[in-house]
Amino acid sequence: MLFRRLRGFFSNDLSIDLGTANTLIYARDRGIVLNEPSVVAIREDRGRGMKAVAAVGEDAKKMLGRTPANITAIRPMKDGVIADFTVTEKMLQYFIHKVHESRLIRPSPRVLICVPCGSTQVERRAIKESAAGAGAREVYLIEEPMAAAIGASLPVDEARGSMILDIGGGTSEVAIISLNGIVYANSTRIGGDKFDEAIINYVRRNYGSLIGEATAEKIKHKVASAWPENEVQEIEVKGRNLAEGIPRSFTLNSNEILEALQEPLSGIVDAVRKALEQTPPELGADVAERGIVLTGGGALLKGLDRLLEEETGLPVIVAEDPMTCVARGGGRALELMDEKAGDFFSVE
Amino acid sequence: MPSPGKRLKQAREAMGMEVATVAEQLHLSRVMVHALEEENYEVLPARVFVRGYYRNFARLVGAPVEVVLKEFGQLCPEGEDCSVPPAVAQGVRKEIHSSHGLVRLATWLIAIALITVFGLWWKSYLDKESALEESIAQTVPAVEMEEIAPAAVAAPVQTAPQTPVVASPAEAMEKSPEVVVDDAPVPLTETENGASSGESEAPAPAGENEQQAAVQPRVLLSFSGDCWVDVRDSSRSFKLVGRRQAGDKYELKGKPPYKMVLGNARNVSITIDGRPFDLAPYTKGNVAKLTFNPTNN
Repeated sequence: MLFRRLRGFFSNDLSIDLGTANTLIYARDRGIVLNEPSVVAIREDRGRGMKAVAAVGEDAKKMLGRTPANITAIRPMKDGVIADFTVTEKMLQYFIHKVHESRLIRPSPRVLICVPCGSTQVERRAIKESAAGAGAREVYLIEEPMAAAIGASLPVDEARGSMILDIGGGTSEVAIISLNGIVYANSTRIGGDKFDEAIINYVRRNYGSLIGEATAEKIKHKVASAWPENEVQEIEVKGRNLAEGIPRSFTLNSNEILEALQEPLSGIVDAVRKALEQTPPELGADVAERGIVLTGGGALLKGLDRLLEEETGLPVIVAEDPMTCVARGGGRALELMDEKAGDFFSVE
Repeated sequence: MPSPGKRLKQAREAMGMEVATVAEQLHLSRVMVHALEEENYEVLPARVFVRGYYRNFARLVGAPVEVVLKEFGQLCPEGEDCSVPPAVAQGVRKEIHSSHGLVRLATWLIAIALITVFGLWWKSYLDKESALEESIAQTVPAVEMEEIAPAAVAAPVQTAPQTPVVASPAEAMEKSPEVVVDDAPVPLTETENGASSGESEAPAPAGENEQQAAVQPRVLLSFSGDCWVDVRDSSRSFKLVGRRQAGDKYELKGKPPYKMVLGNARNVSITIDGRPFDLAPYTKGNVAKLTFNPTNN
């Protein structure tokens, strides 16, 4: 016990939310220390056939869709799992290094990484190994909804059901948690990226114009909503007109975007419905009494809580600071692991 | 005193809404809506839920959401469980985390204590080692002397083999040098004629320091040019290391024998009580390396 405390005192713990869209790092006693897009730009030296990392994070994101032939800006994570192993490792290495930038002696940290609950053993192993390759001393994995629930300070240790819906960049996770364990969990591959895609498709269909991912994301942040609002917001965007082949400017309003988002939104609602159907009745009653908690970047979509409230007839609550819930929850989980001898909840 | 409940109640009444309507709209029970208005957190679930309910409530009745949440934050700060009545809350013992000041202090104390213990052990280990070396160093001259004694005095050479017959030679070999040291004076005392001078010159072998200090001659090192020197005595209390210049003079202190390395032996002259000491036998390529015991020379 004393040894555990001692070790905890000197060790350096990081909790990483390795998301499709953003990577967040929570350091013990320091809070969120990094919040950057999961994008890596790679420069290729054709003469020598060498590849080097040109930029990572915020800088690399600015390059998305704007790179010359020798640079490729890629997102190494797709649908919540690793799509490009080597690039993910490089990215993690860069982020872990950045967090320890100011330290004289860089300790190799203990790292806890959140994985989607639907991920396979192969995908989990890939994440574990890329973290180990990036310089982690020990790597733990925790399922995202569990981390999100702890981060949202839900009473996970009580013998009562709490329902959590975490909408990330690539996946949405819905889970019922009771007594520090996941009773039901489901992951659907709908998230922020699908919203962007839906907006791009809508604009192409109805305006005959092509817009990029970055523009679609900007539209989503500014005017998108999941429930009709009293005042209609507008935004002016520029896209390449497919018929003329020339960039044209046009105006979109929030009702149009609402229409565009119908498909991914109904996917999320279905996932929640399915979860409620499959929940044991006692836990279902607890959820009905207290409500569903929303976390993740998707929770920031205006009116999403209203939509879910109307569709399910249950109270829906957006957690405080939903973007960072998973990373914070992971950090708290590491602390709990030290305090309660490790077998407190399912960490692989 | 901030009161999010009262503010919401006023806003609801201003809108002309019943509690039942609000409860229906928020998908909550009427009891819970009453509890929200009266800030009766004991009947409400955890903080995250209450905060969410206030947010939705404020949006429904058109109250300023940020203000209501801020007031709730003041009333029930983050990290506290407001659903537990305060009387009980006092009784609950706070758990001490690893980040707690006391735990940190204790950890540091343990770490410092460990380091101190290790340091003490290391020091005692070093002392023991030097003591061992010293005892070896003390026995060395005695052995040398034993070799010298028969050479200087011719007569005891013949008598000496007679005395060790009692103790077999193999046994003497097995025994530590100290045993030899004890045996050494025997022929000296027996052969009074040659030993009288030898005894006064040679110090008592087994570490009789006082006598040794009294007899110890004055050794002077004088330099006639640049020379690098490394002189250490057997007790490690005296040493002379580094580069010396012409005209420098040093008197050797501490306990003989001295281990000497003279980088430029030509420029060094040693005198023992005024008598010059010849370095030539120990000099190779102008570097003199020797174990020097003034009492033997």
